[in-house]
Amino acid sequence: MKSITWLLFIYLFSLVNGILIDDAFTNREYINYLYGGKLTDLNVLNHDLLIGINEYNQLLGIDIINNNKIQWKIKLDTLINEESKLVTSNDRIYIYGKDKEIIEIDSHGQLNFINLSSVAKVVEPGHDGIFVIDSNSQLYYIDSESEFHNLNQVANRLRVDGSYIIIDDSKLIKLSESGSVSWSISISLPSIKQFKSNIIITENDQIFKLHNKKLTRIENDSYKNIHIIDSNYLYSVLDDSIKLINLEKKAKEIKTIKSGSIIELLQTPIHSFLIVSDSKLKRIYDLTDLLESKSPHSIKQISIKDNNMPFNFIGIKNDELGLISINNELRGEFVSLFNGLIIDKITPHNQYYSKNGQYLIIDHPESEEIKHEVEHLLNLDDRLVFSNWVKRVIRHLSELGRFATSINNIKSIFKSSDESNHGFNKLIILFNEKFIAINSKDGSIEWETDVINDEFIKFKSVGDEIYSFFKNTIVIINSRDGKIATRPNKNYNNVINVDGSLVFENEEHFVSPSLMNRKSFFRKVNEFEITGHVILPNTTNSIPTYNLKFKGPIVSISNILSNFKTASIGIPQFDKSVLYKYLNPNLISLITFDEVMKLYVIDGISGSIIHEIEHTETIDPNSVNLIMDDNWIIYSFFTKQPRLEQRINVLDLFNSTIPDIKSQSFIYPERINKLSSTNSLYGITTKSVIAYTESGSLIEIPKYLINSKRPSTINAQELSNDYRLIPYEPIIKKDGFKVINHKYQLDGNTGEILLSPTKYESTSIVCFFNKQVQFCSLIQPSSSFDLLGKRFNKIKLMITVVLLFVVYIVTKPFVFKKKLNAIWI
Amino acid sequence: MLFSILYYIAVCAAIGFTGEIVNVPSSINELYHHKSKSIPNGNNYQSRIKLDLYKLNDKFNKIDFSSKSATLDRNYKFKFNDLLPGEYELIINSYDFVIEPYQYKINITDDESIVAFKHEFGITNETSIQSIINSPLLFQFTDFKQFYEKSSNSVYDMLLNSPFGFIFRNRVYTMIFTVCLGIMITPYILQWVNPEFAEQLKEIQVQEAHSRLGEKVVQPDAESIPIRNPQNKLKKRRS
Repeated sequence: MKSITWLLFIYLFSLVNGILIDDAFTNREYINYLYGGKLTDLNVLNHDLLIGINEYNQLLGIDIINNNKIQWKIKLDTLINEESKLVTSNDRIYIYGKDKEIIEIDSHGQLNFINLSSVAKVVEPGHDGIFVIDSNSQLYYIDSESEFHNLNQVANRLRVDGSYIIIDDSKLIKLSESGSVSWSISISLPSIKQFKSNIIITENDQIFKLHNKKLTRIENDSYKNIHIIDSNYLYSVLDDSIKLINLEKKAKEIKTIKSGSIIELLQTPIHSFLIVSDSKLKRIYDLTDLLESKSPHSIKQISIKDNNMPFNFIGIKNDELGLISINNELRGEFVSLFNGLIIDKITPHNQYYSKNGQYLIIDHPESEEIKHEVEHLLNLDDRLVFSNWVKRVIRHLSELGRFATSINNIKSIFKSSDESNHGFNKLIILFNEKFIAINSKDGSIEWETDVINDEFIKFKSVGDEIYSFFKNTIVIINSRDGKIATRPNKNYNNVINVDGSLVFENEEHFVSPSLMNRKSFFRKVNEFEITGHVILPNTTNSIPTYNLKFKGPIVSISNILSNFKTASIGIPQFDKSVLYKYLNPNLISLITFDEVMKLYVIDGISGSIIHEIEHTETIDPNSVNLIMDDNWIIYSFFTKQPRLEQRINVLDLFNSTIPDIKSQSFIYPERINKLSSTNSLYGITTKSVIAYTESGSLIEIPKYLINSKRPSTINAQELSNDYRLIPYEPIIKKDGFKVINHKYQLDGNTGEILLSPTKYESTSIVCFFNKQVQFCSLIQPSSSFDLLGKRFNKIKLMITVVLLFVVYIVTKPFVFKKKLNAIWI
Repeated sequence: MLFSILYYIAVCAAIGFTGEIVNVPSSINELYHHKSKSIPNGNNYQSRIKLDLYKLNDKFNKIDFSSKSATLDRNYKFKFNDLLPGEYELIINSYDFVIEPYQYKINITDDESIVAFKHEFGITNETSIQSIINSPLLFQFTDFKQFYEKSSNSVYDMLLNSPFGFIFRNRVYTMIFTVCLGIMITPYILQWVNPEFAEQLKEIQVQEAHSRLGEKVVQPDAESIPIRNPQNKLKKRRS
């Protein structure tokens, strides 16, 4: 019995351990690294890693065999120019032509710079190293250990076949194992077409075989357009046929096969395949056994449907040889070279991005089922009592039925039937010739519209619809299913939701389709000025109210979001007084740049300038970011003088007859490219600033750190003057735990930070989208106070409770017995 | 004149310096390896390090905010070539490593000397001056950046982060702690496993304690044992 008790204890311990293990970071985020447009210079290393250069001059290594994911990415901007060339060996890439160096890149994406005395003109991979001709026409051999061997030869052109090289089509050299010239002979041949497997083919289809330091001519009068397979076999491509040729004493045809539009010889050190494609069928001839047995009957042929993919490579997956057929968007197939069956379809994850950088985050629309249910519940009061009762009973019975049927799969009981109910699923909308909705949870495409051939200006979400402004049309998209309605555009470029009615903006003013009930204020921003507008009651068109002109261009403008919510209107002080926040939803802040940078805080109704700050530092105008939320304004900029540093400035506004503005400046150790701030359902959760930094981190900086009220010295009483008030430190340290994207480094100089609250107060969805990456995760600035972890195991918790109860029942007699014994003693 | 200008341009074009990050561990066991996740450049740390060289003294009021970047090779070495005389600031930013110092000020003079100072948060460390014309500029790897909080990952992690964490981080302390804990709980376990032996052990301990104090061990006689709640006993037996 005791042993059973121990076993139970050990089991319970393991259950407790299971509940505590939380690997939430890997399950709460979605990341998709985009290839960055169509790839060029496609090649395959080691038969499993596809390499290519994208539209942003990045060299990518992609695991084309297993998951189509990017394994490594190298920025080539500083490494190449127009003169640069790229060559590949079986397992390495060589880039040369820019500086006095060759860049060697291995299959792990690691670089080795091979320094030269002058710029390389020609680089050819050899058997175990590379042959280089520099700009002084000197020929070198560089072995795999990057050791230099000067071959003391003047060369301008090179043909390499393992350890043999032909210089300028006039000299043949054999290289020794130590990397020096073993022997050389002069040759006099018409222009050479191909040199491979000790065979030389000339442009006029003469064949020469290298044997015992001599070139022997092999008689060939019949075959044209010939190519080398190996030292014994060639193939000749004619208009209607391909002839396989043996080279014993003279060129002799052994087999004729039907020709095609594309003929390609693919080889590994062991295998050889001849691929013949026409537009419908791809015939694969396995020549491996022919080269071994020399029997034409051993040639195997398989035919597969031709998918018209322009690039073919041999790939190896789990020791199985396959044909990778892809296009430059990396779509295609991986087909077995033994039976012609498709091993894998090569389909990359979605590669959508917004061409003009505009993205929109919206709540995932409720399913039709939920919508009808809610509508039904809302309309209950309109019916008779009896009919309501019947409807309610039917609904309860159907729910009971659903529950009963779900018991088969016990896990489903603990899962929500529609996760979008809790607002965790968002849709990211973007336009790239058509509108696409991407689910923030897993990157799946929810819907996409037809292609729209018009000049896209802007889009905005209004309720369940998305208003998209094109040059000639306004397209209204139903966010549930992506269905579109189109109407002509009367020069509108924006829409604003004013108390449920829509107001359209054009170049001159704002127009309401119907008469407005009350005064509505708007602002119009041009490069150097801001103009206030008002639509008066019972009118439809706006009239200008004020106009502010600035010396320099407006580089950034911000205002508080219309759906802004806060649960706190003041900050309690240690002396029991309250420091009230200045919460004016009409405030506008903007930054202009002429000779100096200026920040203005403006009342959006009257146009009066409430506050103005001038910065005399030398500031990069492209580094300016401005955000406004709650009662604060935060702006960041990168300075070159007086010091090279990233600044974050904050203005906190407190209530007074005119706002009492406190400001403070901080330094961040890394350059910030983009700023945003969090928001929650009811505004109870503390605020955080989200910064996208130069190194590709999306960092959460709690607002209490960027606080103008942080005193230089602090006493015990003042500690309670604000939430987590700490003494002022100019430097905000970079905290790795606050990097939302953790180990996943984001890419791109800029992008869109998208934030949207869930139905849990603690949690918001944060996404970062640009042309190179799609990333979404959860953010909990005040920690997870109302939400269990994703991995919280309810089943194990229930089993634990049940087992504890069983243990209690089992041990009860023992306890009773022990107590009784104690009393007897 | 023309020759001297050309010579000056040629000399200037040749100015540059090399650098290296030292003490980087060769094999790194990353958490994502265990999670079967694929991270671009996950093992290619060199590509996740950014080196930016800013020229500070702009001429003719034309302020250049662009920087010159360098790429690290597989041995964490880098170089900057074709630099003009002037004052520069070099900032290193690694995604995965903590590197010290993270900022250097570089001075290149007309006579081809290149010196570097540690320069962090606007404070120049004059004592750190070093010539980097013939020797590389060194950055030290000091630690990995931690992205994953482990406090609630497992009971063991909770223990490590508790006030007793220092015990479990040290093997000797852990062994001493385990032995002490074993000595403490053995009597209680013995009561379950072998009550007779536990009783004997208790008596031995009592005798040992008395003998140490120099007292005579007196066995209490049966009459001196108090009878507790005889009524209760009767009640229990009846029930």
